[in-house]
Amino acid sequence: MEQSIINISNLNRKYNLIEGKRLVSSQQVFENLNFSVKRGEFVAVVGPSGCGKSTLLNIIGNLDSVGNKNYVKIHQSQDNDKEIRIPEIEGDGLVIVNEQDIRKLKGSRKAQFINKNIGFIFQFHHLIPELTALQNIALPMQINGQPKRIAFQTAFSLLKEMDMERHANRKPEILSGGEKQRVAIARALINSPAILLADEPTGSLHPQFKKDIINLFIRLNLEKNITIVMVTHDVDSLYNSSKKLIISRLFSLTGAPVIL
Amino acid sequence: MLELTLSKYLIKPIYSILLTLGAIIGVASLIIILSLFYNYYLSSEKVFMGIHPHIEINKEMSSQEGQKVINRIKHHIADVINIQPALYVKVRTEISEVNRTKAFCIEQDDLMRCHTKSDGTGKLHTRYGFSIKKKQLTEMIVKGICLENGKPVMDFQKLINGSTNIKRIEQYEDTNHNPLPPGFYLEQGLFNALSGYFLVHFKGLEKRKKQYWLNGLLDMGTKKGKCPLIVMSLPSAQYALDKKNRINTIEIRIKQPYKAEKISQHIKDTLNDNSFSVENWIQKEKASFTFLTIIKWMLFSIVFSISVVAAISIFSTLYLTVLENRKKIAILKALGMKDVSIYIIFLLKTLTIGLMGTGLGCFIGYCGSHGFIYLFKESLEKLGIENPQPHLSMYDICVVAVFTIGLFLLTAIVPAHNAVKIDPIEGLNQ
Repeated sequence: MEQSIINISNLNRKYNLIEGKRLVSSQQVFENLNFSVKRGEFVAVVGPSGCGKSTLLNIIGNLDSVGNKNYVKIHQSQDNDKEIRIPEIEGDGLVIVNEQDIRKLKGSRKAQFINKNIGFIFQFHHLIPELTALQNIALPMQINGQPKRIAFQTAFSLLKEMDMERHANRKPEILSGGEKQRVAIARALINSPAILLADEPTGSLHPQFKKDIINLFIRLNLEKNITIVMVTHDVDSLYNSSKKLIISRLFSLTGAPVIL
Repeated sequence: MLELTLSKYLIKPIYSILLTLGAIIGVASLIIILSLFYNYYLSSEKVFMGIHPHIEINKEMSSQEGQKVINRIKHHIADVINIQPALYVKVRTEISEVNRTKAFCIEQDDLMRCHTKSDGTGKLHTRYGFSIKKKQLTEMIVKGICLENGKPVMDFQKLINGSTNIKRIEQYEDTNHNPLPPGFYLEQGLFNALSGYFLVHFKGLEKRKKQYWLNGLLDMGTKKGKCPLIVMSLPSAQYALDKKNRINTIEIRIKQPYKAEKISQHIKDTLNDNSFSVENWIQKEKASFTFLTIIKWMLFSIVFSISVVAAISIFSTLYLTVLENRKKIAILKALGMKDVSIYIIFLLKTLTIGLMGTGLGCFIGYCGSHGFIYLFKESLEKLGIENPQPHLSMYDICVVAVFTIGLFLLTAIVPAHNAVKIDPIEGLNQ
C-alpha cells in the first residue's frame, strides 16, 4: 500500500469568540476531520470562504498548531464572577507530515522541519521587497545553512527553469503578478521540499497568468513528482488548464460532492 | 552571514545612521567627561598628597621631647624623607593691611608698632608708623613650621602666589643685622595683596599688634578646620602664641605616600605610646576624596543618562521596526528561520551600531578631550588644575565600550523577543 505523506486523523478545531470576559459564541471548523495525501499526489482543497481551507494548510505546514492556544480569562458563568482560563482556539487530533508527528515539533526542530520539508506559496506571493528575485529565491537555502554561492547558483538555475533569468537582479516591485508568483514558486522549491503547499496561488493573478501558474504546478507534479496540496476556490481555473491529468483528487472541506 | 544581511534590510538605513550618531555622541561625551574629571581628580590628589604632611603625630610636648621622638622615628623608619616639629593653634586673629611710612615713634611702648632701625649700639635712629588700609578679625589656624635644608614638610610651594623663598620665614634680620619683621604666608581670600607689611594681633595672647611681612598668599587645599591658615616659622609662632619651647605636632614626609597607612601603623608600633595620635593623609583627606568620588558619580550619572536616552531611542526604533516588519518576519518564519536567528538579526544590528558608536565615539572623545584642554587650558589652570592633560587609560575605554555595547544589547532583547513571538499566520495576513 502506498504510504501517505500527509495523514490527518480526527482533527478538531473550534474558535471561541470572547468579548469582555464572556464567551459569546463558538465556531467548530473541523470536527473529526480525516484527510490523507499520498506521495506525489496533487490535491486541490476546495470549499467556500471561511470553511478552514487555509487553516488546514497552515496546520499541515506547521505555521499553525494543532492544540489549544491563546488562553484568556473569562467569567465561569453569567451569575458567577469566578474566572476560568479557556483557549480562544481549541483543537486536537493527529497530524503526521512526512512521517513526523508535527505536534512534537518545537522551536528549532520545527523551523528546520518547515525549511526542509515544506514549500509555501501564498496568494500574495509574500516576497521580501528589499531583496532581488535571486536573493528571495536563495533565502530558504541560506536559512538552511548552505553557502551563499551555492544558494545563488541553485536559485539562478531555478529562475532559468522558469524562464525568468533576466529578472534575477530585479526587485519584486518591478515584476508582474505572474512573475512574482513564479519567483515565489522557485523560492518554495529551492530546498527540494517533500510537499508544496499553495494557498490560492492564482487568487490575485490576472486570468492570463492563472493558466500559466496552474500549468507550472502540474509540470512540477508530473516531472518532479512533488506532492502538492493547493487551496483554491477557483475550480474553473483547474479545469481550464490544458493538461490531461490535472488533479488527482478534489477534497471538499464542506463534505459536499465535487463534480469532476 | 544571512542574519547580518537581513538586519540591513529590516532596519532602515536612516534609523541606523541616527542611532549610530546617538551612540557616538553618548560615548564621546562620556570619554571627554571622564578624561577631564580624571584630570581634576589627579590634580586634587596631587594637591592633597603633596601639600599636607603624609603623616602627623599629635601630642602636646616640649621641643626636646619632640626631638627625641623625631630621632627615634628617623632611626626606625627608613621611608621618612623629612620630619619636623610644628605647632598648630586655632586663635582669633586680627590682620591689618598697612602702608608703612616714616614716622616719629612717640613713646617707648609703641615700639611694637614701629619698625626700628638700629646702628648696632642700641640707639634708635629711625622709626616707622603705619596707616591701616583694611583689617579683618577672624578665627585662624596658626601653623609654626621648621625647615630642613630650606624645605618644609608641608610642600606648599606650588600653592604660593608671591615669593616662594620660604626661607624668609626663618630670617629675623637682614644682611646688615637689622631686624626684619617675621615673614608669614596667609591663605588667599583674606587679602588679595601679594606682599607687604601687615600688623597681626593674636587676640588674648599679645597686648599689641605686631608687624609681620607677608611673604605670599596660599592658593587652595590648605584650609584646616574651616579656618584660614597662617604659616610662619616655629619660633615666631611659639613666641606669638605664648607657647615657648612647646610643640604639638610632628610632621612627616615619606618616600611612598600611598603607603602612608602602613607606615603610620609602623610609627604607632615604634612609639608604643597611646598618648600619641598618628594620622596619615589618606585618612585626613577621606572627606575630600569622598567628595571627589561623589562628583565623579554625579558626572557619571549625567553622562549615563545620555547613554540611557540613546538606549531608549534604540529600543523604540527597534520596537517600531518589529511592528513595521511583522510581515517580513512572518515570511522568514514561514521559510523556516529559527527563533535564534531572528534574535541574532536584532542583536547583530545593535551590536553593529554599538561597535561603530563606541569606536567612533572613543576616537572623537579622545580628540575632543585634547581639543577641550587645548581650548580651555587657561580656565582649567585657574581652577587649580596644574598642567591639564587628557587622562584616558585603556581600562576606562574598555569600561565605556563594554558598558555601551552591553546597554545597547540589553535594549535589543525585548524587541527581538517580540519579533520571535510574532505569529506567522497573523503576520502574513497583515
